[in-house]
Amino acid sequence: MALSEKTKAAWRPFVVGFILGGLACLVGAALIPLTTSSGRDARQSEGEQMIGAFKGVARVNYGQSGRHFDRLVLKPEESSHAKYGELDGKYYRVVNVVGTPSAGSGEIFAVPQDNHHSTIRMWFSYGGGDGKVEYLGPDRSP
Amino acid sequence: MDRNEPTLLTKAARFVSGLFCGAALMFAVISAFLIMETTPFEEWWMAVDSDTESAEAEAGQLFESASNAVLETDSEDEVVRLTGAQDEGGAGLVRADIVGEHYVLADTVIQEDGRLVLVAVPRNGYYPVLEYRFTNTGDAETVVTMPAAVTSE
Repeated sequence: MALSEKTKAAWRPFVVGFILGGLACLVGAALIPLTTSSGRDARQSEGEQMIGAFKGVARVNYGQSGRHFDRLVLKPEESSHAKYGELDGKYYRVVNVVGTPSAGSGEIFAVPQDNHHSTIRMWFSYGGGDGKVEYLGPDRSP
Repeated sequence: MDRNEPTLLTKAARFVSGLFCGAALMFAVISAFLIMETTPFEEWWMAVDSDTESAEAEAGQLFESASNAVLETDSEDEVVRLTGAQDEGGAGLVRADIVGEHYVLADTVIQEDGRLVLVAVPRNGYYPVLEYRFTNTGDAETVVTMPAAVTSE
């Protein structure tokens, strides 16, 4: 059934509003990652930053002694560059262990303090210092 | 002016109602999409969270098999990690041997205070970090070194 021109004209404001409302909601949804994920990313970023900082500690310990240490916080006589309190962040805690997945490389773990993120593992090279981050659960990055 | 033509107020009301209807429809569509998007993570989370008994049992199995591999190593070199060949300081395990559903073993064998130490790292905040301290005489104990961060939502 074809609508008359008068009816179409009468409901044109509704149609225009409908389209604009939908577009506004779409734009709003597109902005969600910039707002909510920035909070979510802040948590992940803290974990990655902490783990990156302790990668530096492990490399310094290695550079000064020429051997791999299995802990981040060392005994006093081993001139530690990290203290226990520094392992705890607001959203993540770094585990006091340095794995050795292969000769010349290490691994460090950061465990989340909430139930929305997964543990982060960083593999790194003692020589070059390059690191690779891996989430031990699904990555929640947008 | 046509008497049947809607007034400016009526047009405005129709525009506003259209605005709401359009936004509501788009909101529903986007919400459904976002819920579907997050489902895999939530499914994974539900599979691994709050199952403390399974997690403890899994950590125990990982510790047992890894410590056995370390003790059975007949290499003259010091065992420094779990994976890799024995002549390269490994205990002969592969990565899959030290990765579980709830826990992952750090790929290292720590020698501390006359004992060997293995570290189990949880894959999320629901479980504690565990250490398995053992000797080649059969003494062994599991210690919580970092309590679980999350107890409830």
